Amino acid sequence: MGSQPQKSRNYIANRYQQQRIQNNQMQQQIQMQYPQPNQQMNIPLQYSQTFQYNHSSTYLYNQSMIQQAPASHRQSNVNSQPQVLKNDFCIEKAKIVGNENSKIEFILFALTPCKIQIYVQCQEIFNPVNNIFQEIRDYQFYDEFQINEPQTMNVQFSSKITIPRSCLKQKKSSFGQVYQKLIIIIQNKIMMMIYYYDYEDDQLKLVKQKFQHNNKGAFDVQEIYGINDSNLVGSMKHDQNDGECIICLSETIDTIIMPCRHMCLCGNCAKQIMDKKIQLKNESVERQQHAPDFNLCPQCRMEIDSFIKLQKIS
Amino acid sequence: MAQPTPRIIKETQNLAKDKVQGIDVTPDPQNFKHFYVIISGPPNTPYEGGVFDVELLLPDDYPMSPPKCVFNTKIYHPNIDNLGRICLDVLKDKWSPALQIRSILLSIQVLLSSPNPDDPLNNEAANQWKTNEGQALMKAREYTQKYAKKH
Repeated sequence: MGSQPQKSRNYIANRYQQQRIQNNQMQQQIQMQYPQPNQQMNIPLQYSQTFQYNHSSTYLYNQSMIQQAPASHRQSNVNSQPQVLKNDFCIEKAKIVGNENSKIEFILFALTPCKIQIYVQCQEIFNPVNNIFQEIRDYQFYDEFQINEPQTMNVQFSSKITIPRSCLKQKKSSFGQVYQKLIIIIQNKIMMMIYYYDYEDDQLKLVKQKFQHNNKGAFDVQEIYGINDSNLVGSMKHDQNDGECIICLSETIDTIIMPCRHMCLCGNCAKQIMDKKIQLKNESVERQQHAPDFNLCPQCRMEIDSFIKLQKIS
Repeated sequence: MAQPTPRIIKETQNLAKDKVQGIDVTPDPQNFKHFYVIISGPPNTPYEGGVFDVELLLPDDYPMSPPKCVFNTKIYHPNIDNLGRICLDVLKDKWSPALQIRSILLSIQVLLSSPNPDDPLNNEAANQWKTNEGQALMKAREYTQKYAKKH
């Protein structure tokens, strides 16, 4: 995650400005289109509810994120329309600078005023029922920023406190719960983003992101592999063969394979894969043995659980 | 006859545009699903210097099913039998629609340079490979000289 090439920094900065203007047209809707038949029965559409997809932040995290709702939401939202949540801010390139007593530096992008909190070696508590973030407990260091103006120019921030590196190296846990080495929370009145960092080889490494909108519970933010090539996001590369479904080599990519999150198919071909699978089930065992397994992702051969089709909504 | 799918058109164009070293593909002008392939024996193998005729046929539901490949030139190889059938996982159950004609031909080329006697199709050759590799290589070279030389 987060392997944005350095050279395109300026370009991205310009993109942000444009994106802000276009944000309304560029919102995207993620919804499940092809539930697999065997799942339809007992598990209600797993990924059909509220997904958030936002441009400004996608550019920061490899242009790709998808959110999986907490279990409680899977039940309640099955029949409702998919909802689009927008993310107003994100943090990029958090790193640790200095020798023994170091500061944390990061780049902030925010469309609204917000509050940033940094916790070191702490435990985070989520409500076990609705998965809403509750509090951070038992932290060793704490820092807080209040950002009163929108920040769209990639301003760099540096923590006021200094953190000894030795402290980040520790592996702490109590009662079986592992402590998070570094958590950065950024929030405004409506939403919050939680970034979890690990400390490895003297560097900070982003391990997880969570997003919470109002009181809807925290979503895991995950990357979609290949979304950069699709035309849904203003593609940075303009190669002839980019953005084409790897099966028909003609339609544009718009379908994500779950759970491996490869985005490499068009809706039609995804449907074909499913049809093939059903067709194969009716054939003789011997033929099944020698036939390719259609239940595998064409790119990584991981078993397909479901498909998600992305659509641009205007 | 049915029209070629966009994928087949595109693949054919790409095959003509940038060629793979040692592989020469000629589409059949009468049948867009039929390709004549000539694979040169990879260097430092007993097949070096030989040219092998391979026929490739795309099934109707390509790319959901793998293409069918057959060697028309006789070859001594543990994974290719004397009818020219090829034992290669990507041509069978390991096929993925993300693979293309090009990737399949490359796999066959690699199969020539690294025979796999543990998954044999030509048992006699595979046994020979396991028991006396030197002799097997010699026999393969002999076959190459005899059957796979350009005329």
